[in-house]
Amino acid sequence: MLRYSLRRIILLVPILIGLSMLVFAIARLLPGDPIGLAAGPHATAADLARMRQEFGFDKPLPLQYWDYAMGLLRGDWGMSLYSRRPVWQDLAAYFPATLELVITAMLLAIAIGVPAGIAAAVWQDGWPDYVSRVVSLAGISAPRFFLGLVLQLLVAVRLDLLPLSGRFPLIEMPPAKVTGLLTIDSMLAGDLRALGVSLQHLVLPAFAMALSPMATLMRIMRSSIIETLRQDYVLTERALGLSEQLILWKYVLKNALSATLTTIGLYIGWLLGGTVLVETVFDWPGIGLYATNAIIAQDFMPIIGVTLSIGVVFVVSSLLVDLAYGALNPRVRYE
Amino acid sequence: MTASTQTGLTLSSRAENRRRVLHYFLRNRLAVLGLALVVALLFVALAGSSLAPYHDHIAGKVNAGMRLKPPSAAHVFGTNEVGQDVLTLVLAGARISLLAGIAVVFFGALVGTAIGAIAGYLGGWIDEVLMRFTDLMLALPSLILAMAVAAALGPSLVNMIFAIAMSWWPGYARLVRGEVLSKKEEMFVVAARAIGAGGPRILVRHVLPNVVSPIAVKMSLDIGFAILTVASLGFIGIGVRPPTPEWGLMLSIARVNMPDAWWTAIFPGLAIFTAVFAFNLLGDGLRDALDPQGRR
Amino acid sequence: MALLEISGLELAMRSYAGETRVLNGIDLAIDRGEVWGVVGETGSGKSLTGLSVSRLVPCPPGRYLGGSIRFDGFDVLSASPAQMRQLRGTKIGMIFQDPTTNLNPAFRIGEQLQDVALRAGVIAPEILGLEAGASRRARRHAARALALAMLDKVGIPDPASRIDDYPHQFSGGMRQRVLIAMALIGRPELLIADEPTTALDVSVQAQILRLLYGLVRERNLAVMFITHNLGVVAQICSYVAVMYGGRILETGPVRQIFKQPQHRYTRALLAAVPRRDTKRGELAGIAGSLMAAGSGPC
Repeated sequence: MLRYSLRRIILLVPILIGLSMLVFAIARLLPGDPIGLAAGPHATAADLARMRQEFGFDKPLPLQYWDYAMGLLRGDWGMSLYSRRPVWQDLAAYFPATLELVITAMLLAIAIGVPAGIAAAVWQDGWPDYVSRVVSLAGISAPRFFLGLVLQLLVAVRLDLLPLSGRFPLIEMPPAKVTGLLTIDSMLAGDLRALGVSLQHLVLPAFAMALSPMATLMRIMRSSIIETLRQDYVLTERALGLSEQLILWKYVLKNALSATLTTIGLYIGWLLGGTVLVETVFDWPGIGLYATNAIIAQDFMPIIGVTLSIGVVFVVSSLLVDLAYGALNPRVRYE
Repeated sequence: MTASTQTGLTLSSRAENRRRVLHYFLRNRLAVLGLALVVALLFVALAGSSLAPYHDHIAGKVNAGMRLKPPSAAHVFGTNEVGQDVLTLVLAGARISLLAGIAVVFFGALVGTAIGAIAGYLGGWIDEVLMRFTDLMLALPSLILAMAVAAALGPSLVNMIFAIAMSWWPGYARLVRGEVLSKKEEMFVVAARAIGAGGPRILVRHVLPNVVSPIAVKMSLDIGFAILTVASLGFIGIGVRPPTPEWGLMLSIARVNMPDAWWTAIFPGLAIFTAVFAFNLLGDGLRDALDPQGRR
Repeated sequence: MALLEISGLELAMRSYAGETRVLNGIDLAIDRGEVWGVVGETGSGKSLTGLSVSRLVPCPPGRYLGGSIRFDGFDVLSASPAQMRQLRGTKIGMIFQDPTTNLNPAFRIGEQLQDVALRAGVIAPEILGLEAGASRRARRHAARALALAMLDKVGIPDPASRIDDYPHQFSGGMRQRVLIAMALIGRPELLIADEPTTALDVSVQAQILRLLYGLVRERNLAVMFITHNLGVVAQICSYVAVMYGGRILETGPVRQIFKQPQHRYTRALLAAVPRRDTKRGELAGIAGSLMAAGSGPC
């Protein structure tokens, strides 16, 4: 197991290098003139030249990449033309908010989706199974920005149960910043009121994000279990007297979890990329909104910064999934 | 060999296979519903403007006197902030969304298949390089990439389709490469080579036709999500500009009038949901019918 | 009364093409110490017969139309699932064809063996060598010791170091030995073996057959040995039942059937087996294609 893990971890390095090169290449290859946009319509040629030099746009491409890569390692992720701040600062400000949203959404999705999937598989072909299949398909099909809007209308406006938008009201006192995740920070500071407030604001957007992975997890869990139940070894286990309970909860579940795990890992990456839709609806100050503004302004460095950081999270979570997969499925370790 | 799979040996022909697939499909009520909905949607998309009660609203004619009226007999879905009939716009939007969704999947599949086929067939370092590239592309957030490309290219439907297709191809590349790799070693390829057929010819005439089935299934499953992505870009405001009646765009404009003029947002939103749901039902049913083992 | 008595068993299976009869009145009686070979081609219904004894045929899509199965006088077809679970593993043991797919790949073989032993120990504590009220820990220790003993008995070299290995770390022949150990660890009286050597190399086949033969003699087991291979039947079985199209065409002691087959089909089956003096081009086949279940025999 150790060798398997080490091998995987070492492979991270070339992957991350490749990732940074790819992102940089895509960003630079995009048509458009960011300098021109940032400088504004009244800039003179001299102004433009000066800005170009200031932001390193006058150097040849490979050199620009090298500067960028070295900068990355130093912690310098470039400057945002738009906000005039280091990208790193912007990311540190916005990433935790998105992370908190995504993690909460995934936890919700797992907590509801996995048991629902098991139930659907166990009561296969009964009416709960049928209903759950329709519901899960509907859950995957629902556009999350629409869902967010509907939740706002129903829960926040009509029923007035939860706040309409935002992450933390300005009139309240936020907890001291340790991780940037308000829920964790509130718990660390022992501030129950802040915890309550931040959770209240988290519920609707997290749910809007969670529905799709929840539905997918349910379907994958269900089909995974059904698939495993058809395996020959289950027949042998039954033939030799093992109880259905034992077979399901011990022998089948372990085998069925692998597919679910892969999905969870993939979804973390997908959700991070798709948060902008929910952030827009709920005025959630995350990297989705940050990236969107950067895209509209054709502000390269933030776009690269956001894309790269999401890519890194995706690669790391894939690694974690691989390691967990190796723990669950011993055959894989020896490949 | 387990009892559940072995009831006796049946040798089936191609025609019997088709009949069996059809049987399973028709037996699945959800799949039939999906098919019906998709057909209805396609009909609306193609007939679009002739069905709509207020054609000129599609072209952008406004009626300031009728702004933000709730649903009534004259305007079944109400009117929007410039007095246009929401029902008309929603119907018109069907054409855009469906067309864009299908185009995205089509082009994504085209590019992906080409890359995957080349990688799988040629093997070696070409395969390595192409697959590493594909894997890296898969690690990047596709929505943000599509947004960046669409924004850089400029606001138009075509650019939007191109941008989304560019983030869609990796899935197909992976799929096709896998299929080509497994088919490469099969008998008919060896036989074709033996009678002197050249490389690319074998690839196109012999290998690819056998790969069509999984590609087709994936395409049908993807259309729903492609439509969702198109609507998402529209919602963010990248890709299409008003007065194009794109559902996502309509939703984003409608937000301003929330919560009072709920009909300006709810109906376009429901339209998106219905379209995606319909294609997902269909794709799901198709996949289940082609692989009945998954059902029982 | 024989240990296992099947009379007039009729089974139908539903598929997309409708319901088809797969067992058309099976009569079979197996007593302790008797090794019955059940021979037939694919689709003859022999596997389903074996599965029926332990009520392992899923219903739906299966449906028993008539007949009975009695194990030690007990009516299997009307038994509850709980009652069947009492029988499985402790009274009736089963081995299947493919050792690769019949062991759970995610669990060590020791654990799988132990669980079967533990379960059997709940019903019949003497298997573990303990009294009824023994503690969980004691039972687990006993189960593990028993697993080690069984592994040794089936010929796994150095069982103590291999008991915590995963299935993929064993060869095909070894895996089948593990499966035999699992099937017999609960001390069953009846063993149903469904093509246990078909997926193995010829050289390994002989070893496994010898192992089985020894165990069967030692424990005086009743055995239903399902196979399509007459050569195997000749080596290990004392009685034969020939099946075709869901029916048993002929039964009798092995010697007698081989020397004087009564049924046309049996004769053709025997004639199809190549012998040492069979010359090139002399292979005799049986005319007609494999019969799909339910399309009516002679």
